[in-house]
Amino acid sequence: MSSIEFVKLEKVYKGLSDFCAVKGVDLQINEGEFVVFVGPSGCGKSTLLRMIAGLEDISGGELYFGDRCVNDLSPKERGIGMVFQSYALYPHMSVFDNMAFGLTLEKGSRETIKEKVEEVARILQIDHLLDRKPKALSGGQRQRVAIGRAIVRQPNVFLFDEPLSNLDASLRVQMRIEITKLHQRLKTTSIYVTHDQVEAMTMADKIVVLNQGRIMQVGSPLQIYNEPANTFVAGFMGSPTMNFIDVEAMDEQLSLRTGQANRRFLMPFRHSGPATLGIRPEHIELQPQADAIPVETRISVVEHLGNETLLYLATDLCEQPLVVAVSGEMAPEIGSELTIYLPLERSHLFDAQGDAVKRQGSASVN
Amino acid sequence: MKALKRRTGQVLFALAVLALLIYTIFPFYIAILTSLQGGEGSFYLLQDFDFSNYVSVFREQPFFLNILNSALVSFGTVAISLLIAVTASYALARVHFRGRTTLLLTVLGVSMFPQVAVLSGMFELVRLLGLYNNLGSLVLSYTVFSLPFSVWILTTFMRGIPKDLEEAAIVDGATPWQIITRIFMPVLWPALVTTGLLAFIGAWNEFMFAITFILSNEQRTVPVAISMISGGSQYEMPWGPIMAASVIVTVPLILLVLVFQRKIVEGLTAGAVKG
Repeated sequence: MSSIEFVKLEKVYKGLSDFCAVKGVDLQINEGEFVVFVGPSGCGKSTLLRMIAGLEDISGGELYFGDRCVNDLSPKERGIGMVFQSYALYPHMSVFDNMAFGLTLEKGSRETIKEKVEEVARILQIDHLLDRKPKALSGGQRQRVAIGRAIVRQPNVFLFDEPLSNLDASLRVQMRIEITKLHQRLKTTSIYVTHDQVEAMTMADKIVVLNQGRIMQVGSPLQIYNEPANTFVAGFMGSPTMNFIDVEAMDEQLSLRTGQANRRFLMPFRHSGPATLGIRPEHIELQPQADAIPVETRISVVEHLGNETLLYLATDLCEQPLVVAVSGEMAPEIGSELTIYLPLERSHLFDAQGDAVKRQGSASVN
Repeated sequence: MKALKRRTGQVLFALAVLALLIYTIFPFYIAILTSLQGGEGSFYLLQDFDFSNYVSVFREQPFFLNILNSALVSFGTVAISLLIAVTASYALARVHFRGRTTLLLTVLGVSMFPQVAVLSGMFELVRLLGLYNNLGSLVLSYTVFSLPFSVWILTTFMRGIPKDLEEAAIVDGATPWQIITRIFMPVLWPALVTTGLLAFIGAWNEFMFAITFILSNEQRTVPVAISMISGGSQYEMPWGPIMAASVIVTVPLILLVLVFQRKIVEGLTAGAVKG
């Protein structure tokens, strides 16, 4: 087990025009932590993981495991275990041989290998499958074998590269819980790459949100949800995504750009100039509230999800429809008028660069 | 009316199949027939089982030695060309280096030359290496000719192996050589059998190099030895012994193909390797 530290880590792909996939990433991962890298495709999260694994050369900066710089070490010397998206099981070997492959290369004795593999197989409940070939296994079982192969060498660091994306929805939930349990049991430093924000929120001790090769925010799942550092994080985490409304801020007051442009609202932020107000669909109210902006809307689309209903509302505040999550029992009519209330207390303010403005005190409607 | 139509269709189909069968099998039928006939018999019908031709093949010349030579040369060619082809295709499929595509196209381009074109150059090479009248000269030249095809096929197959598989092995601590021998070769088994068998058939049946580079009877391979079988006079073609010898040397090939038949089909049809 070890902590990991990234110092200005960079990855440049040389070519006709150099492509910078990872741009100066600084990050500290503590021993035993479960860290999730999340971001849209092409954000550099997989590249970053592969650089930690040693499968991708580091173009600049330094990578430390504990206090040891591992830039030039091979994956084996770094002591990592990796689970691939496609499982990457050796198709011609039995489950036992798949898991034992790394140990046989280290030339361990037959008995210790057998003992270790069988113990890990028991933990993962695949001990009855040891003689099977990968093609005779189901997706979930293959995934377990892939995890087993990574665990059995007792690595310092576990790396997961979107391991659940090939599984069906219910199995994904089940494996998610099992990986979390496994981590609680083994307490090995783990890095998990996913584009699925539910996996990120549920599994992580620490979430690292990446975009275009840069870290957007690092924090606990609730920090990321409650205090997004910028519009990117705010828009990426949370489903359905946060609503953004262009506003004009003057010190502690806020005015909408259209419609009720003459009305001023006191806001819990101190900022001047053009800004973006962000509010999550689940925080918008249908009942009049103190400290809330009333908005006249018309219902354009209704999505019934059972437990909740999503309303897409056309307004003159922004071109995108505002999304509101309401209780599942509600059955509103498309085209009807609806007044909603945006509670400023639960909203976020971002400056013109998209960075979050720090919240302060409480607010009241002017 | 409909039944009649279907019936005619079936008959026509059967006739077509029959024609095709006769067309392909007839030469072999004649070969076997001729080899089994001692004296002058009917040309088309088997009248007696006479193995004297088979006996004479082994008595008149060191034919057993010739078969051994052929086997030696063929297996040697297969072993060496597979070894080189596997390692070369690993590099061509997996390692990024400048001029990779150019190299691959050159390999393919080289295989376009007809044997005659390289015969004199190859002869000089063989003389230079002191391999004249030595089976080594044949292994060398056959390997040169089977390599482009083997490399090309194996590179295509190697590309079909998921990158993850290789990386998983790297993470497990395998060296490139271990990746090739422990992971890639078992996975590529059908492709190896196919290319190996084709190299074997090529080497087993080759004639031009074999007659050019080998001088003595004891070093000759089978195709040349068969061509050297002579009759009682200059004007007599000893068809019986020639056919007997041909049948003898075809049997190993047929056995090989039958044994590996399923693998060959897999190798020729299966594109990618599924996990």
